[in-house]
Order: sequence, then structure tokens, then C-alpha cells
Amino acid sequence: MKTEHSLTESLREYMNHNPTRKDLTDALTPRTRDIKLTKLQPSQSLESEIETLLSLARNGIEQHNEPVVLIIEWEKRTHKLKMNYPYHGFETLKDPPAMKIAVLLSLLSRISAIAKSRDICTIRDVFYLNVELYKSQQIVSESLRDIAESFQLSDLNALGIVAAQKGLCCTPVELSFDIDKLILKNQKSLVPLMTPTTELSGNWSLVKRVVVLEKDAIFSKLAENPLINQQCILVTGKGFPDWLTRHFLYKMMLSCPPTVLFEIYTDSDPYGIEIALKYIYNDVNTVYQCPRLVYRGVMIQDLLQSGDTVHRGLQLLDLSARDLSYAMNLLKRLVNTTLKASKKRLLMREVQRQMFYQKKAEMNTVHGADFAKYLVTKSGTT
Amino acid sequence: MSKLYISTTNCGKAHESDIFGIALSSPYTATVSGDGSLKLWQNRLMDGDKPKEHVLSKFVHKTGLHHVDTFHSVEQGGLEVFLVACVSFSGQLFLYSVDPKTGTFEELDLLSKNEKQRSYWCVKLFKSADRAVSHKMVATDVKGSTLVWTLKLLKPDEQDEIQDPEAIRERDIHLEALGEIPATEAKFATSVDISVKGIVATGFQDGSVVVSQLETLRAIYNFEGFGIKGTEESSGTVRDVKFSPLGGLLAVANDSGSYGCVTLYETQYGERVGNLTVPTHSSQNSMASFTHDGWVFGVSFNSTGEFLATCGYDGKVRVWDVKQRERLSTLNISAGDIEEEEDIVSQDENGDSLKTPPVMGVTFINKGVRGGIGGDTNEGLACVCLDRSVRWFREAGGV
Repeated sequence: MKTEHSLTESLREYMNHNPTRKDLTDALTPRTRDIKLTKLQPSQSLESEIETLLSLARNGIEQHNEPVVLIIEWEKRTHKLKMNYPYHGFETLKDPPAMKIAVLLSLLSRISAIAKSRDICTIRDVFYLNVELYKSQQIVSESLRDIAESFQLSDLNALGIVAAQKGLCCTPVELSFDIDKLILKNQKSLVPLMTPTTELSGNWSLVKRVVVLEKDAIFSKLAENPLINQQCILVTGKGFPDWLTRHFLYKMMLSCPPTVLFEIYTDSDPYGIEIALKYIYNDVNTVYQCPRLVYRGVMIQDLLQSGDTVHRGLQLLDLSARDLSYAMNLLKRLVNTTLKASKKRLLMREVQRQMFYQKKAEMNTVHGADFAKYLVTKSGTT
Repeated sequence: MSKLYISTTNCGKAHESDIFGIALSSPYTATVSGDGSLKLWQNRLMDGDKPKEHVLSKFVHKTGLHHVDTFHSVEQGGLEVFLVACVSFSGQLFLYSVDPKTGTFEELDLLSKNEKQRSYWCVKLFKSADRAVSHKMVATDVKGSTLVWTLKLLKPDEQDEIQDPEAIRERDIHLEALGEIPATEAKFATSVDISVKGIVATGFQDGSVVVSQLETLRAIYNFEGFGIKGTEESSGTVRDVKFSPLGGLLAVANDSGSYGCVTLYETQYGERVGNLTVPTHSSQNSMASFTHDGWVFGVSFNSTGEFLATCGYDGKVRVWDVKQRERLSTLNISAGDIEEEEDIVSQDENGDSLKTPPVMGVTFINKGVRGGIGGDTNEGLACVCLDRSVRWFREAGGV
């Protein structure tokens, strides 16, 4: 009973036409437009794929008055995410997904803009573009990961978005990579962003060692010490290393001639061992590990055997209950890794000693708080 | 008075990694190591026998082992029982029964499900010579609790009154939980011992020792460490506690900065008897009074309680006269004194010197345990060192 004077039917009319509950629900449900984020086709570039998705959504909402249903399918997860916008249907959900969908669409448009300009930017940069919408950086990184996963991309880098650089390096020789990119010598610089094909080159004959340090403060000190900075490439991931720093070491390992020694120095506590393990080995992706790294300290016995008898041992701290349970779990994980037996034994032995002695120490305190001297003595023993 | 100890035999590269524990009872000297294996070295060796040719080896846990204790008893009816308890770095407690005749290990699954969920650190097996008093097992966990069990070896006799001492009763090893001595606050319980007088001593990381009564499971004394305190008040870690054979004295080894102290306490009234100290005349250490120039990892009374052996990170084993609190002997351990030259480990994989290896554990050997020349008339000592060696000594003279 369509009449000219009323564009929309009244509820009564609806009920008359649709006698059953199901029919009524069907009639009241608007026609929607499904937009699916799935695996990126090889022929399709990221930019054009996103353009298509966005224009579909725009047309649907603006011109056809059709709500959009954004569907995100993940290969690895069984469930898929389905979001209506504008929201319709019964209010069964706790929060309507408007916010989430707004974040995703805004991120998609950001990604396409980045791809257009052939630029890269950090998660933090993206976050600061619309703080009000994104609310926290974590939401941005989670949503970006959702997008990358649904496109079945290996990581965020493929979206042109990278984590902020955290690691620092300082080299005695200039290292060049890609085309006309350079890491300047004798200067603290951020670990550079690299592509899968990046190769580092430089005058390796002047480099004796690559020294990885847990602590930023010690890195800075050593970078200013002429005894060290003339022959060692220094790297720090500032505590637990990010992927980029680990990848940098991997690249370095591939480029460096075998004469260059790779060493890692961390605090003498279970976390230090964990950090060393993170650099040397990971079971996710081999391009983020550097098996050439040798754990050299700081060992608890280095502190006990230092010459200064008056203060010897006083810099040691008690292992707390938390440290101990961490160490226990670390040991359990360590024995199950496929790390080379000799390296595994060395790391295990250090954890065992820390546990048995119930002591830990900061790397700064070694050798009367003179780490450079310690490093020189250590290098003498190899 | 001084005593002289001579090396009877030793074994380098006894384990593949650091050796953290030693325990000794009649048939075997037991050692445990970070390589995860438990080794039982036969005590009675013929002349010319090498220790490595008479050792039982059992791989226990891949995270490594650190504390071990043994138990050897011949029960009524001539039933011989040899038990080994050890703890892994993952906090699990393992118990084995070993048949000395065949050398076979039998893993005993005696802990309840709840008991297995704890993370253990130190374990002691207590052999009672008194038939009225049962054998015990005590263990500490990383939260500071001390758990006590009665160790039963035989099937309970239904007619206890008319006991025939000659009757052979069936072997049935099991544990009966006696209870738990909880720590007042969560702190790491590093060491434990149990005395013939039914007293349990638990040593803690913070330097305190709690002495409790087994009957009531209540603390009766609390000893604080007397070492020099570091800048952080944390350098008094107790590393070993041991009761004298008659239970009258308690020896406590604790850190004092990088030094190691041993303090003797009298157990009846909880009085401190005194410290064992080496005279320091050198200008560098004018203030210090310590037992070892390094942490003391182990103390051991001899069977009469007259002597106490201590060992430390300084690579020395010292024997003390308990009554006089005087040093009788010092054994300087050197990596180079291992008999088999190819087994000498004077440097570890990092290039760190082990020429004077820290001594991780020491134990007295009763007369008649080791055999060999003088073995029946003289007491001896056994120790494990960080150069992955086990060494056996006996007192010189009297042969």
C-alpha cells in the first residue's frame, strides 16, 4: 500500500505488511553495504586497495544512504570482526563500534596518504595527528596491527608505519647503506630505518668489535671514550631492545667480516640475561636475531674478583622474590630454546649463579664504576 | 694444635657445569650440578681405582640442580635404604631411592599435588638413630616456609606391641607431612637443618636465622646476622646452617659484604657462643673479622662435634676446633692439583681464571666410610669446587 503522501511507512503499516516478527525485523533492517578487508591481491597496490575501500564506504554513506558493514577477517584468528556504521539493529552490543570504525577508517586514509607520498612515519606521528579520536597510542598500534593482519602483511613496515626508533649506535667509521644514506662516524645516532635489501658498508678493517650495551648511560660514556670509540661500534637498545635495533644487528652481522667480534654486556641480573637472549635468539623471525653475539658480562664473578678488597661485593644487591621467580621462568624457557649449546650453557650458568648466590648487580658498578676499563680488560682476555 | 689433611683422590671435570652441592653418606658421595645431573661417587675405592670409573650418574632436570642430601640407613631386619633428595633450579624437589647393590635409581613420587606446586630451594634428610624417633625430611621454599615430613621406610606394622626385631618388614617409603613453619614475611629461605633434639633451623637471605621447635612448629629463637652491613642492609645472606651431631650447637654461615662469617650459637638458651675468625694482621683488612675471605657456602661438623669444616669463595677449606674456636687447618685448593692433567679446568669458557676455584660445598667423612689407607682410623673431608671437581681428603697420621 505505497502512497505518494508518505515516503516512509508507519509502524502500523509495517506491522500489517509483515505479520511475523521475523518479517518485521527483515523489513526494518536497512540494506547494507559490506566492505571486507582481506588479503591484498598481488596485482593491487596498498594505496589503490585502500582507495577502493574508502570510496566504497563514502559512496555508501553519502549517496546511497546505506549503512556500511566493515568486516575484518584474519587468517590466524577464527572469528571475524563485523562493525555497522551508522549503527543499526538491536542494541545487543555494549558499545556500538562507531569509535572503532572511525579509528580504522581514519587510519586507512592515513595509510593511503603515507603511501601516496612514499614516506614513512612512526606510530607516534600518526597518533598525534588526531589525539582526540585515537585517545591513546596503544589503540593506534593495535588498530594498525589489525589492519596489517587483515591485509596479511608481515608487519607494520609494509603499511609505511614504523615504531619510533629507540636504539642508538655510534661507529668509528662511516657506514653507508641504501642509496646515499649514511651513519656518521663518532656521533651518537638513532638506529636507522632499513629496508629488507639494506646492506651496510664501511671500512670494516678499522672496526674490531661490535659492542651491544644494555644501558644508555654506559653507551654514552663509552661513546666519548677515545679508547673505545676508535675501534668499536657501540649499540644500545636502551633496556629491552626494540625490533629495529635487533634487525640492525642482524644486518650488521651479515655485512661485517668474520674478524669483527660481536659482544653483549648487560646488568648482572635475570633481566640482563633475558635482554642478551632477546638479541641473540628469537623464535619468531630470524631477521631479528644476531647469533654471532657473545654474552660477555657483566658476570657476577667479575664483581667479586675485582681488586678493590674494601668495597668488593658491597655493590651487589639481593635478588628479590620477583627476580627469583623471573629467573626460574627464564631458565625454563632458556632450556627449551634451540640456541647453540655452548651459548645456552653460558647463559644458563649465569642465571644459575645469580640464583645460587642470590645476588645481582648493575653493570655501572663494575671495576670501581669504570666500565671502559672493564671493557678493555675483558677484551684482553680473548 | 693443628691438623693436616692430605688428598686421597680427586676428580676433575666431574660435571659439565658448576657443581653446587655435595652430600655424603656411607656408600656414596653425592654431587649435583648446573648441568642437571646427580652423580653418586662410590666411597670405597680400591687402590688405583679412579672415581670416574665408579660413579652412578642420573640426569634429573635440565634447568640444573643445586641442593642435595643423602640418607643411608640399615633398618631392622637388615633392609638397606639409600635415598637422595635434590632440588632443581626450577624449584622442583626430586627423591630417588638407589639400590647400592645394583646401582639402579628409582624415582619416588612422594609429594602430594599441593606440595608439588611449591618452589623449593633447600632440602635435608634427617636420619634418626633412635628407634622411637622417626626419620625426617625438611625443605624450604622460596617464599620462606619450612616444610617438615616424617620419612617412613617400612610398611606400618599392625601389631606394634609384639615387635620381632628380626622380622623382615616390607619396604614402603613414604612421607607424612608434619606441617609447615611459615615465614613471618615472605623472604627467601636459603638453608635449613634439623637436629637430633627436634629443632629446625632455617636461614634466610636477609641474614636472620629462625630456630623452631618441631613439636609445635613454632619459632623459639631468632638470630640476626653480625656481619658488617653493606650500604644496603642486605649483605648478610645466610648460606648454610648446621646443627652439631648432638644438637647442642648451631653453626651459621652468613655473608659479611664479600667476606664470609661463621657464628656458633648454643641451642638450648639461644645464646651466641662466638665467631670463627682468622686473625687479620694485614694493613688492608684491619677492621674485618671473618672466617673466609669470601662467602662461606658450606659448614660441616665431624661425627663427634669437635671439629667444624668451612669452605668459601676464597678457594679454601678450613677446619676449626669448636671448643676453642681456633683454626686447626687450612686447605688451599688449586685447580692444578687435579690428578688427571686433562681434567684440569684452570679457566672457564669466558677466560675467567679458576686457578683458585671457589669451594661450593664441604662435608666431613666419618671413619670407615672411604676405606683405603687410613680410611678406617682417620676422618676425612670431601669438597666440590667451581672448577667442576670433587676432592677427597683424609687426616694425616695414625696409619
